[in-house]
Amino acid sequence: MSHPGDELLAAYVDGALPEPERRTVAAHLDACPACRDEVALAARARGALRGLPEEPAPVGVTGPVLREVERAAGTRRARAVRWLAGAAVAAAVVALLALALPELGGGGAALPPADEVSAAQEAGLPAAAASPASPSLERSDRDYHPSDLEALAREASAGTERLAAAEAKTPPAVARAVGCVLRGSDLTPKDRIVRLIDARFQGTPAYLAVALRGPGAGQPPTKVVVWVVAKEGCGPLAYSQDAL
Amino acid sequence: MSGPAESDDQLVRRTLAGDREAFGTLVERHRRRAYNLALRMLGREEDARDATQEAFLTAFRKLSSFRGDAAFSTWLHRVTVNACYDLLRRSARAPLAPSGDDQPQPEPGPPIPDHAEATADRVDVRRALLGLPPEHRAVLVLHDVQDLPYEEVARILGVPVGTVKSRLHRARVALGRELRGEAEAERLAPPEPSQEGR
Repeated sequence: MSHPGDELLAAYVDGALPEPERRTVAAHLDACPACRDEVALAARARGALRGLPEEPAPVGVTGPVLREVERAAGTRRARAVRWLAGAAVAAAVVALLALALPELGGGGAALPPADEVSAAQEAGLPAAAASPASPSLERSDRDYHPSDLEALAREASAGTERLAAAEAKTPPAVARAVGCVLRGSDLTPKDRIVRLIDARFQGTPAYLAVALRGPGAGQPPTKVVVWVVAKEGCGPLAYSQDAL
Repeated sequence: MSGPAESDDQLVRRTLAGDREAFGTLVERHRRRAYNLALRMLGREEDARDATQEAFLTAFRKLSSFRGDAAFSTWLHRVTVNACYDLLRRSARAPLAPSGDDQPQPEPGPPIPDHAEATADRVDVRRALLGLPPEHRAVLVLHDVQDLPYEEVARILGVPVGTVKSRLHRARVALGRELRGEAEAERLAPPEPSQEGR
C-alpha cells in the first residue's frame, strides 16, 4: 500500500481516526519502518507540547491597552454613563416626549399601522397620556446625546408602573426597528422593551430602546437598560443603564 | 458593570457602544490565553508581552470590523498570531538578526538520551519550537498546546482543515526531530523516501 498522507497521520497520532481507517494505518505502520519512525517522532512532539504548563499572564500586559481604551472612549464621547442626570433634564425629556408622542392605542387595542403613526405625527397631534404599548415605535426629530440616555433610563425606572406591557399586533415598522435593535445590542426577545424611539443620536439616525431587565425568567426587573443602534446597518452607538 | 454571565458577544457590542469597562472584561478574560500563545510562538517573555499588548490594541481598534465574523476568541487568536508574525518579521529585519532568513535561529539542543526523553522534552520543547518556521509553530501551539480542534485552528489561521492537519503532522515530525537532536543532520541529509510518495 502507498504511505498514508500527512492528514491521516496527524489524525492517527491524535487518536481521532474512526476504526476502519485507524486499523488500515496501523497495519501500514507494522510493515513500514519509515512511517513508523515518523509517527513516533510526531507522537513524541505532541506529548512534549501537551506537557507544557500554562504560564500566568504577567502584570503589565493589559495596562497600556486599558489606557488606550480609556483615551479612545474619551475622544469618542460615547461612554459608560454615570447616573448624574439632573431632574431638569429628565423633566425636559418628559415634556418633549409628551409633544412628540401621539396616542398609539389605548389599553390592549391593536396599534395603528406605521403609516398612520407618522401621518398622525406629521399632523402635529399632541399626545394624550403617554402610555406606550410594548413596544411601540415613537418617532422624534430630536437629536439625542449620551447624557440624554441617563434621563431616559431614569424616567423609565421612575415610572415603570405605567409601562404595563400591552400585547399588540406588531406593525412592520416596529418589527423592523425591534429586529435592528436586537441585532445591534445585547437585548434579546426576553428583555422587555418598554420604549422604542426612532430619532437621531449625535446626528446619526438611530433607534433608542429602553428595556427592563430582571435577574431571571419570571422575576421582576431590577434594572433599566438603554441601547442606541444606528438605523443604517444596526450597529451599536451607545449603551447606558440604571438600577430600578 | 459587566457581570460574569455575560457572553463575549455581549461585551463586544457594549464596547462598540462606548462601554470601556466591557472591553476591560474581555481583556481580563482572554489575556492569559493570548499571552501563552504569544509566549510559545516567540519564546521570550518581553516579546510575548509586546505581542499580547499589540494584539489587544489591534483588537480594540478593529473591533467594528470583527462583527459577525466568528467567535471573539477565534478572532482574537488570529489577531494574536498576526501580532507574533509581525514581531518576528520586524526582529528578522533588525541589524543584529541573521541575514537572509525569516526566522530567528536558536542554537540546536544537544542530543537527548532516550531514557531521559520525557523530562528533557519538557525542558527543550520550548527551544525546539523556535527552531521551526512560524507557520509550524502556530499550528502546534494552537492544536497541541492550547488543545483547539482542527476546525477552530483552521478558522484562526484562515486555511482549510486539511491544510491544518497536514501542516500539523509535518510540524510535529520536524519538532520530534529537533527533540531527538536530528535537526542538523536532517537539514544536511537528502529527503527521506517516505516523504516522496505523498
